Amino acid sequence: MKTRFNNLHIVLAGLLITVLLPSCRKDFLDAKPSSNIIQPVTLEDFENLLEGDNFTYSTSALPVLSADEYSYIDYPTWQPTATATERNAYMWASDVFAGQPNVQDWARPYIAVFYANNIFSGLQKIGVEAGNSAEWNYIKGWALFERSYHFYDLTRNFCKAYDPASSNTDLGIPLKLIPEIDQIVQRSTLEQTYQQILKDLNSARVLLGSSVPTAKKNKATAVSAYALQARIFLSIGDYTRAELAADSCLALYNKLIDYNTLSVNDPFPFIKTNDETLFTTAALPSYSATASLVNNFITINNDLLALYNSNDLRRKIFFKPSPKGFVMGGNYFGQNIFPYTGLATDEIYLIKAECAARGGRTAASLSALNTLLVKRFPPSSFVPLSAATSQQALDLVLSERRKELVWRGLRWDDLKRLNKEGAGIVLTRVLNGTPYALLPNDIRYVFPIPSDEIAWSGIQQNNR
Amino acid sequence: MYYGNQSKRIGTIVRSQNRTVNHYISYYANAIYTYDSRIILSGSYRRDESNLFGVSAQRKGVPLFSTGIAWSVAKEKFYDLNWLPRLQLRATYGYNGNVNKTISAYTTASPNLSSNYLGTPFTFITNPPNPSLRWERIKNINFGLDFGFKKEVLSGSIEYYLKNGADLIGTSPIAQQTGMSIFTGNVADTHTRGFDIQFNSWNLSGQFKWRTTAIFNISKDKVASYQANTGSNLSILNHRSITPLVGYPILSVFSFRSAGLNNAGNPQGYLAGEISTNYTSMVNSTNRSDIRFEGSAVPTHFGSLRNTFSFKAMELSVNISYKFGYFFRRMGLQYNPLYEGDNHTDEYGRRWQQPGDELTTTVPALIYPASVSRDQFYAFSHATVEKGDHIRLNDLQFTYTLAGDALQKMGLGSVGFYTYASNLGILWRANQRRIDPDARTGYPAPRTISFGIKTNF
Repeated sequence: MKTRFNNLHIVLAGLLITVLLPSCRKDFLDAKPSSNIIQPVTLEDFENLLEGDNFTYSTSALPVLSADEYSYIDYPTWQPTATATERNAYMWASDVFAGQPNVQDWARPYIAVFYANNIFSGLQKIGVEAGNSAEWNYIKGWALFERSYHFYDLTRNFCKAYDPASSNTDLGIPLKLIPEIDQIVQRSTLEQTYQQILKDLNSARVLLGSSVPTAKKNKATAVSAYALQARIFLSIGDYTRAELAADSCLALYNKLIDYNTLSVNDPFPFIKTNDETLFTTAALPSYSATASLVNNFITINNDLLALYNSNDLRRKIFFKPSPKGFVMGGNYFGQNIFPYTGLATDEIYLIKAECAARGGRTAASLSALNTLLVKRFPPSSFVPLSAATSQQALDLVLSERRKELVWRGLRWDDLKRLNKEGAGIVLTRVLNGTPYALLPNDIRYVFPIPSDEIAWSGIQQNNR
Repeated sequence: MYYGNQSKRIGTIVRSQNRTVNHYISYYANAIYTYDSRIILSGSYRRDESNLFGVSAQRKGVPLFSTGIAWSVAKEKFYDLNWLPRLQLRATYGYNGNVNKTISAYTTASPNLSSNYLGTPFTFITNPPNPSLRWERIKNINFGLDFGFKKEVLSGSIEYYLKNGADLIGTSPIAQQTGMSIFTGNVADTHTRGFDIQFNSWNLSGQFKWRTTAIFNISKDKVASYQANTGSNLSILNHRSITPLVGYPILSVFSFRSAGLNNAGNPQGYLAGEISTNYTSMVNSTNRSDIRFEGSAVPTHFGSLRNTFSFKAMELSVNISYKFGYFFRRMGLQYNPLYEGDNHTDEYGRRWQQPGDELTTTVPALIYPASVSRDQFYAFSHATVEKGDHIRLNDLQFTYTLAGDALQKMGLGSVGFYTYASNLGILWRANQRRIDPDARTGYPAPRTISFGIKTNF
């Protein structure tokens, strides 16, 4: 027994104890791993997030691709089109994305919503104080406006036209209201969707100032909030409230560009900080058909071109000759080649004119319409429009809407809305001798939700 | 996707400087206790802390510990096997954690390289908020046996291990309503077990010597639970991270079940068990009966055999390695990339061209315009999976050593001439297409030969 204990030996190696003062240790471990990474916590941090391109190149291009403003020049040109989505949207195929993952038309607006939601939870942690309330309200209002704007972009493309009789059962969009990615939400009803959009928009309007920036056209204002209200109310057929919003908007800001001052030969006649722009967005840059300058493989439809009076300055300024007809030239996004989808005063004048005509106030309608049109013709050849009845005024307004708001992504919404009211507009295309038609109120007016979203959130697909 | 003309929208580049700071503090303790040179107890503890971004203080550190016991059976009094003078049993138990420094529980943002369309600099979100982020934890249990026959004629070790991972970090597709398309976070628990076996033998000694070292590894792993989205069938097939399906290897190869080509040259798969050519539905389906499990994407049986022969001043050593029990996916013909000038594969010549070809080929017919989902279906179908098993001649070394009086007079101890050649090629492979399973894309590791002279003074 004793000998055994003699053999016992202990090896104790490498026992190292580091003693550091706790506070010192804390600072050491709190060092930022990269000077390029920030945890956004200040109002300035949130503003820097709102300045991002995710809020600007952000609206779906699908309504432009599927509307009746353009055609491919021929079948062999349509065939090699870069994406299946462009081909399918053009011929109103039931399946638009052909299983393609990560469809930007759905993803981009939700990225904007995600950013806005991050800002809301950050703002909540800061709290409003006397010293920061002006800036705090402005950031909150701007982010609310962005969420409303992008929820609406999703709604108009992926939901049916609003109908108060069925809005409590019609499907809306998933209303993602918090930034945490471990939460997945199902589709709301269309009624809930519009209530959320309008609630955000109203809260934004109250928080935002009413002076339209001359240069920073990506910033939201109370004026752009009224403008968006006018657009949304018009699209859901609430013409009374649309007119009120349009009036409120124009009372605060009513500048128009006199097209006589523009150079017809300039490939980019408009500047991106032009007077009519209230809030800038563009269609997302994924598709070649909606990129002007490179799209000689499409032409603007002749029936649309034929609507313009030969003296109309818009005819020469909007469209540029191409080998096979005309293509889009400059737009309100300045030297940019993607469709301008933002808010501008011309649209608000047209909303005012339409709502007045629908309300039976012919003179008010024509007054708003002529205020706009006088800026679109040379003084020598401008003849104010006249109408004997409010229905005639309405027809004039709807024709002017097509001519003024061409390539802005609004025609598709108009087709949905007007056909719902019985306009009976049938869209047709011919491809390789095969005619294709989209009948009024066809279920294909609602785009399918990308299949990867369906697979991973389990939300309900649109019937298309 | 259309990317042409995007330069139009790139604003002024924001001048930027970036500095990275990595701070670590480690606490380390290690103790070994030997009792009568028969039993060894050991224990170690370690805690690593770093300036991980966006986590609370208690999450900044990771503890690791291990304990072990070794018992030299051969030193016991009752032990009387003279032919096996060395015999030891070992067991260890340990636990460690791992933190992924690239992700954070909180929202983080970075400045964008270019400014926005108005020339204003902006930041973008780099990490979404994920309050449920935790460390990865791995539990290790090892059992070992070391042995040596008399004069070490045969010696070696046999080890059996169990490795259980919990909350492993992986990527998973996520619904885009979240503002993200890929989720990185804790997704899976895994179980791994395996054997590591090594034998060293002296086969011949004397004038002509021959030694062999053989290593055999067997590893079997599986996903024990998966907490994130498992996604569509296509997303499982092109997954590069932890397999989202419970019960399958951590890295697996799956395929669309294939029913060959139809008489128009279109590849056929299954949709809910029925033969189908509806590619969009098949790639997006979540019905797992329409895909088949091919096998592990990493070798499950692998090892090497090194034989060393020497005769007088010459020595030759040859190392052969093997990897068995796994599969890989080769590039299949895809028409969309082909029309864009990519996708260089010899399959084009073997494509379906006329009715009847479907009996002899699996390569789909040319269609125009191409279909993205038809391309995807074929690229991830059973037709493009290959067995990865192969045996490789890894390296060869030849040495000639001169020694003797003549050299010593010149002041040299010995002079060795040697030649070393590596990556000598594949001796046998299961796939018929002469693809190197270790170099499926790009070039195989180049064959190298070196010559040298080694001398002592």
